[in-house]
Amino acid sequence: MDEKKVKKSMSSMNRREFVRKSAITAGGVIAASNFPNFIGSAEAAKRDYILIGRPNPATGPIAGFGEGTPWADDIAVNEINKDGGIFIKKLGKKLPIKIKTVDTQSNPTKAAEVASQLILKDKVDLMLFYHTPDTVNPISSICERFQVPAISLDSPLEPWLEGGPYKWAFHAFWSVEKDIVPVYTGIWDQIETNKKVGVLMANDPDGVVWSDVFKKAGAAKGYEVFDKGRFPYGLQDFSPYINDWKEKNVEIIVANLIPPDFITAWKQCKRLGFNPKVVTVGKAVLFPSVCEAIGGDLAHGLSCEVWWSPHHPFKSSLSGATAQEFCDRYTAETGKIWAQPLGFKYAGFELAYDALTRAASLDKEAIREAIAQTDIDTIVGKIKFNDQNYSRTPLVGGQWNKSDGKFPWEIKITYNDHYPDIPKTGDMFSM
Amino acid sequence: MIREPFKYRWFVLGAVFLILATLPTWGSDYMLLMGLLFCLYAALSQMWNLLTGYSGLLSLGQQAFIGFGGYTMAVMTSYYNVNIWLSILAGGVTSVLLALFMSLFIFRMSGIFFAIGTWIFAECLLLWFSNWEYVKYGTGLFVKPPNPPSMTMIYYAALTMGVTALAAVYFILRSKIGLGLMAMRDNDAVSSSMGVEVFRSKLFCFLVAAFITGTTAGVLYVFQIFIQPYKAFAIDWTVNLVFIVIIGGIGTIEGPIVGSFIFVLLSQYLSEYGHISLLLLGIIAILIILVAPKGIMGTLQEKTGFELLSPRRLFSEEPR
Repeated sequence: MDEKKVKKSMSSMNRREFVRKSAITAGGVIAASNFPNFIGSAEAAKRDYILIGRPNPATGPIAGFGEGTPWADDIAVNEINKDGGIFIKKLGKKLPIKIKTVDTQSNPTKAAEVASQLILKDKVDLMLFYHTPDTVNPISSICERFQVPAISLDSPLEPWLEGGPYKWAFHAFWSVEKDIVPVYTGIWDQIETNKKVGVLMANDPDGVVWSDVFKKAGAAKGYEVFDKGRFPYGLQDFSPYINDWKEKNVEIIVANLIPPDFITAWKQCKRLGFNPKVVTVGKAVLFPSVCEAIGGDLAHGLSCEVWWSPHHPFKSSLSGATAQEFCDRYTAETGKIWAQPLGFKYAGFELAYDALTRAASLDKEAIREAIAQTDIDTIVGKIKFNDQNYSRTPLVGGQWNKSDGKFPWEIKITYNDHYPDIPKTGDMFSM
Repeated sequence: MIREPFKYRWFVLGAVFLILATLPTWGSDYMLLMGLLFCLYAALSQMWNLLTGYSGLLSLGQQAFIGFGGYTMAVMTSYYNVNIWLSILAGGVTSVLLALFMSLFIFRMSGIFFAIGTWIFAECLLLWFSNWEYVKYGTGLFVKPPNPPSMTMIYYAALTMGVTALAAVYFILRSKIGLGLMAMRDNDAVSSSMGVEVFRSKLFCFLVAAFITGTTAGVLYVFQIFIQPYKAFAIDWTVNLVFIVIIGGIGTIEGPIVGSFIFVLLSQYLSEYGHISLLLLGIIAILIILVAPKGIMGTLQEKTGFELLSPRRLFSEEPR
């Protein structure tokens, strides 16, 4: 073999060797440094803190709801731990709370898996979770199986109740039938229209349930509802829907879909010269970032349900801060405008603190009992669980307005008939 | 070169089986959970390996059987109060029927067209189930069996599936069909002209894979409690199976087992890292493929001849 060849083969060997060795070393170091975590749970029994499991959709299609997660969680935990935490009678001392956050990838299968992991490996004392049936349904069931106290918020009641009866899982939010329908029709009643409603809803759990409920309830309230059926995510051409509405002279649109689809649909409405008087949209226009993304003034006048806002006359049971003060703090510390899930994220910790304090014990049954007895005013309103383990939270209606303030879009509360304590901040106008 | 098979292989396999079988008596609850997931993923990936690694049927539609088996079990237990183990078996049977129906269409295709065909079938099922009132559209079903089984019982069901899948692959590959399969995978036309019944062998494997995948999915959803069409019929399942088989070693019987072990450990552990967990999983897959292009077991076999379960019969093994 001549020298050149040898050199060449050696240099290529070296490169390969290098890749191989560095990969093996890196893998080895990662594995070795973390191996105790894979199996270690022995010390869980004698730890000196209270552990709350926080499965959270940090990635995937519902990650938008997760916005503000570390912020609201950290604030609540700091407030609870400020004076040492929660008094546990048996130990005769206060224990601080700790949270362990894991990603559900917006996937119910993954959510069940990580919840099991939190219960079996980390031995959490309490599970706290939020955001849509994809997260709330599977984790509630897992907590039932392993008999771990669970508190969830921010997911419509109907799909959650399907999994009942519950013993260990407790839930607080609004109902599609009892809250959404009255608020939406209440919004429509404020504007003079021909009472013809077009339905624009995606083929997903929310779209299916909502369209069904609206077809029944809308007719009962004197509205004529036109539904051309569900559409898949990512549809690019809404003209069949829009032309149908134009033909039927529809003046109200009721929608439930994801933000990108609504943006496409709404722009096409404008392009085709379809100008309804009222457009009430679930899910898609909850956040100001979406109004900005629609562009121009197109979001001006869109209406939606409001579960929480800085104008809600509620206070934190932990710090006494009002909803307004809480939102101002969020804006000051993050530079972002408030969003509706923020209050609910924080309220979960209020419920946890309240129940753990009353239980004064780490016994699961005692904690469960304490949650069942919950009767507390939180930053999202009064929460008192009924015998089916749920509590309805207040719902009002709002309308997006273009604003000259610091942030370009502002939601005004325009409908509050069912919860007059939550003040109206604007009047409904026709688009 | 013919190498002697690893001498203590039955001892090693027996020890692994014994450890898994006695896990509920000595392991923590968490280890039971890991064992459960390991067995389920091992069974599912073993079946994908049988199709792709041995029969040359590149399936991207395993989720069709996972969803179908899972939904059969959920509907039977929750709507009709049927015994849970019977419902799981029924899930396997309906999956076989589905596979028979699918085969009418997709067995006319081969290679990448077959792969796309299976995927499209799974997507069609997703659309069907998400628009079907009987299974409550896209809202999903809670699995509410009349007598909820304990974790230990679910674990043993999963272990049974893992062992069944392994045994099925081992015996199929060592049978006449297995020889034919490997010949087909390497050259379809030649093996057909040599008298291998290509269509029947492929169909046989496809049906076996459907049965075991559907049954395993039933056990999986007994554990999960909640089934929803967008995730039950999602391509994510097959992506995970591909990951498991590729890093473990495609076309080896031990590959899916090793791959599942690594996958379960990694996915449990990485979920704590939130946003970057998927990124880390990808980097690990790339690293393993760089270091061991044929997967861990494939490369080990190539380098050292180490093999626990060989699909080949060696002369020394034949009765003298």
